[in-house]
Amino acid sequence: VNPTLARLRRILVMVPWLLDHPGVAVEEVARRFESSPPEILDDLDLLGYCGLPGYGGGDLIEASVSGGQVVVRMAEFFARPLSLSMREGLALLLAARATRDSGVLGNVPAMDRSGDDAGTDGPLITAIAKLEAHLGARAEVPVAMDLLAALWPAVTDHRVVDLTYQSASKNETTVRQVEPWTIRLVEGAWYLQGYCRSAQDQRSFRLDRVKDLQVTEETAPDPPGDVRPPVYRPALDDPLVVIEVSPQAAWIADHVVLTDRTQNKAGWSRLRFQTTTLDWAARLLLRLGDQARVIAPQELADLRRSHAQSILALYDGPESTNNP
Amino acid sequence: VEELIGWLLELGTDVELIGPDDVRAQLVTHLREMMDPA
Repeated sequence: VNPTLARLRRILVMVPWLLDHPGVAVEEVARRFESSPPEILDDLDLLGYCGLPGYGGGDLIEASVSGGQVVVRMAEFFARPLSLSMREGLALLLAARATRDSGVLGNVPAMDRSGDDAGTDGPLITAIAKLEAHLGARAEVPVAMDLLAALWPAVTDHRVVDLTYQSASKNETTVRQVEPWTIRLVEGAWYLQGYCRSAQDQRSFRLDRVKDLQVTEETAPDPPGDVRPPVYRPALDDPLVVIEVSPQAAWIADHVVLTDRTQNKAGWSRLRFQTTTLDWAARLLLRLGDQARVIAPQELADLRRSHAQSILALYDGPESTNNP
Repeated sequence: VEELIGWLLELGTDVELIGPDDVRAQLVTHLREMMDPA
């Protein structure tokens, strides 16, 4: 993260909190905002140069430190905390629900950082309720909570798991023995990462594609120290695909690992990328309709057409597919 | 509706949309565009 941006974010969140906690110790501010006391003092110094247009006395924020205690004044326009964006709110809510449902906190209501009892439900539960209210109906995002709850002890206790998994790229269901390393939330989807004994290599499994899970009694070896987030790494022999997409379908570029992207005069993008199988790319392209053209390979265009024909047969009857 | 059609297409022949009729018609149009690209 850009350090200047990180600092700006910290200050924007810190000022409303400081207004709400006059006289708080510098060390406490540093702890709460995961920074160091010298950094916090620098931030407070910077605040003296910030304020409303006019920038004279009475317009600039006053931040003072006396006896190690912080007081911020003349920043009432900052008193209301920043709102979470929908994306930030949902990510936070999903993580909070997963923590709650994993049972990792046990049944004891957690205390907040200041040691205050936040009520019988604990701060996590009250935070979830606030987030759900803030996000409204959109808060109901399905998450594989039962799988998360079952997997969490398997990861912490290093237990081998038997997974029945629906592969998106090969469209097949397989049963695999996996030594679980970690669970991650990436781009809105939960993943189990671990060593797959069937593939004899590291693999990532999306939890919404896990059809069944059994935690065995077998102890797995310790995971490696540095487990990177799951990303698709093209292999040398993975097929290369070239397609053109309209501006409306350009979102697909975020779902593939591009090796090249150019744009023509009409605003269409030519995307070049590798894929694990042409079948996966064909099914992805089905969504785009006439907003995507397959340039190469011809086999991909044929596969997409063949998939479309099969689905169309469901709706039109076989005779209609000969007369599109 | 676009999102729904997207899911249906990804699920392929494992699922058939029964209704509503207008969404079914949109799905068929979408598929025909791929059968006969401009």
